[in-house]
Amino acid sequence: MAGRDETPGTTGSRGSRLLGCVALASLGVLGVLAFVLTGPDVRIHPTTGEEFGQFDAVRMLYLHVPMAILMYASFLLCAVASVGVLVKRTPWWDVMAHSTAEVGTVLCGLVLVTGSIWGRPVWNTWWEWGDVRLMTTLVLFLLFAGYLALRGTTSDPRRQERQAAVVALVAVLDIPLVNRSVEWWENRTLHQRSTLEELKIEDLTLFTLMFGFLTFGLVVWWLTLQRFRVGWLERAAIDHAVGSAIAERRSETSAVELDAAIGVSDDPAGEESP
Amino acid sequence: MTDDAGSEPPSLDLTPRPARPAAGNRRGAIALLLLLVGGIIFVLLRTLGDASLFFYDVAEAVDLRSDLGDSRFRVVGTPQPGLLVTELDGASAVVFTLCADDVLADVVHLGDPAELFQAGVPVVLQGAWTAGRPPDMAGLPDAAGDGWYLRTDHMVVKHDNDYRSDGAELEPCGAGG
Amino acid sequence: MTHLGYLVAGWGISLVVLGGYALRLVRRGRSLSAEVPEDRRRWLESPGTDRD
Repeated sequence: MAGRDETPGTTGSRGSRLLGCVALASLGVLGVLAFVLTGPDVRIHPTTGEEFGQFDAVRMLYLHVPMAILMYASFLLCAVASVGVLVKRTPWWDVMAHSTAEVGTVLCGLVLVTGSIWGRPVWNTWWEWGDVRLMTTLVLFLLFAGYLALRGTTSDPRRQERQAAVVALVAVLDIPLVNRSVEWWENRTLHQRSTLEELKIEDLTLFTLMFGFLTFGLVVWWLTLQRFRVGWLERAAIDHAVGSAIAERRSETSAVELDAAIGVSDDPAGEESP
Repeated sequence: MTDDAGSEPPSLDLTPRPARPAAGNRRGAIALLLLLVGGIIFVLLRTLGDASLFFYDVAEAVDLRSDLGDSRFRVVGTPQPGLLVTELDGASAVVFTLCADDVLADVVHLGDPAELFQAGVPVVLQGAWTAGRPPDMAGLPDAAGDGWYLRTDHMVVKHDNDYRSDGAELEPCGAGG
Repeated sequence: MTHLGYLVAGWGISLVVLGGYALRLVRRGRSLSAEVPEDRRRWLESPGTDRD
């Protein structure tokens, strides 16, 4: 490509590399906390006196719940950025909206998969049609997958940005339904009510869950940062390619031809309005 | 695109055009979009259109017994101590009493129960009312014995939201409802 | 440890997907970065790519 920069490309900065290293180290510590230091969920039933609980399957808690909360955060950020797209109409907001939507969709897919894997031993089912939390989460995933698909459908980028922003703002309305479904439709879901709101978690289990939030927060921050840079670079690459093409053609074309081509004339009546 | 009023027609159009996805990609994206819209509609119909996905508690299921007839429905409750493993129509079955808000219903669950199934831990069962006495009912310590039992074939465990080592706020009966 | 297979599957799939996604982003970023002048690679340093 004309005007190609031959220096080795990188999207990283010292800050983002440090963030990536901290996130990786944090994942390692989370693994130790989740699999070595915390115990299984085994309790004594007050009536039967028998052991009950989720046993070792509880270790999915430290993975599934933080990803779910960060999925909400990503989609809410996408909604904020989409408002920015509609109001400010600058690329920064659009790249941010696209990035957070993509990261959120990846997380949403993983939340569905890990939830299914967790549900098999604990609930005795991979999937329950009709469970409102599962259904609303699946709809959220499909809506944002649709958002991402929409970004490839039109040839006019500005129109596409605005359409996508509207879709994101509609899609994000599903988040309160996902989050509150266990309270609003308790008899239509296998999901239990919020553990954290009722603070039915303590000691190392609580600490590990909080550490999970921190760890996946760092991971998602890093991913969003990288995705944002890719999005920014995609735009910069297009603009740079167009600029290079114009420069090339300009060098091949005489000044008179060029002025005629872009509509510049000595005649003031022929000037283009800005 | 260019406004050439007052000058000669341009021989060269240098107006930058917006980047556009390749036609093949665009068609693929539109197809994917349609597929996703179809998926959302399917999910909504699947969820909203099936009344059997609603969980009745035991008291509601007993109250609505004549209305429910032989239709399948879901019921949530807590199995009482005393789980009997037996056979019914040549298939393995578990017989127990389900309870919520102090209302009891006898259950015959066909097939393997859930891995974490045990007395005192709420379950959601899917099945229908059947007139008669469940097999081996005499062995049930808290049998409802009302001439009906729930014949179920789908069981999921509805675990609590407690992760404390001594957290067991499950009530003897009614935790599931 | 009970339910080991489920734990390996759940954690494994998540780490592989997130790792694969991260790798894809880094590779895509590097490839695009080589097409763009150094001063326009990062939004903080870029004069802007506003098409409006």
